[in-house]
Amino acid sequence: MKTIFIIVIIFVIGLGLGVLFYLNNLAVFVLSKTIELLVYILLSLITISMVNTVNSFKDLINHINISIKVVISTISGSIAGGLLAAVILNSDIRMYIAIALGMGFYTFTGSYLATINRYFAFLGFTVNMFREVATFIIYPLLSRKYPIEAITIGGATTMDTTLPVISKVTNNTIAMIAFIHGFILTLTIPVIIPVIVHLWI
Amino acid sequence: MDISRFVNYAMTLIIPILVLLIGIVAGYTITEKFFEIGIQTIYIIVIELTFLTILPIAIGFLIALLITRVGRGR
Repeated sequence: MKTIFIIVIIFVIGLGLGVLFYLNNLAVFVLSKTIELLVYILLSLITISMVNTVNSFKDLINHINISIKVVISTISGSIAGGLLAAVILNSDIRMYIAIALGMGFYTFTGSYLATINRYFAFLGFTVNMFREVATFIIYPLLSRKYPIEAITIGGATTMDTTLPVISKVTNNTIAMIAFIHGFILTLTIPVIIPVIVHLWI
Repeated sequence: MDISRFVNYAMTLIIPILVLLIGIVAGYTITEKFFEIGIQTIYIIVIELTFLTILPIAIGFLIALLITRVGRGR
């Protein structure tokens, strides 16, 4: 429990620093590259420990089965959430569903929606960044009781940026489920958003 | 040295740094985006952001609770 609060507190301190201090382009670039490098190092380390926990092919298939169930929950939750938000706020249903279906993949959602509408691009970027932020704060708190179900919160980020936190507060089995979940979603999002935006009748 | 112990030490060292850096970049980006679109529209946007962030997370989590029961040992 102590680790969980330390992670949340460190993240909130980081958010505060980011809001308070002006960063020039070079600083943002250096920070982003450092994050990328640390994520790669952590991914390698997590993979090493995950491989140690897989005892058999049957184990792996079982993890994939659970991941698929979680992926279905994440996608259907995002569609229902986007639809409900559009109905409540009386806004564009198609765009709201597309934004919610970004599932944390803010670089893609923001840049893709920018080709259609600047406002929805901003919304798509920020909503999905908030989802990542929310994962850092909410996942550690829910992980004790619902380690698998809470993976849905992270969406596509569970295969990279939020995976270290998931791995730290749970165990290697959950980390592997989260990785597979994030991987499937990362492949799905670039297909599903254009389909929703363009093929909606 | 035991590999899992090494991984554990490395993760304990790297994760706080990573989380702090991600927090800084997220905080800065969100602030920058808010200033880009103007202070007066923030109120409307905050409502949209709240709904669009919380509803998909909450509904997704509830659906997961319904269809996966493994996490609770059933």
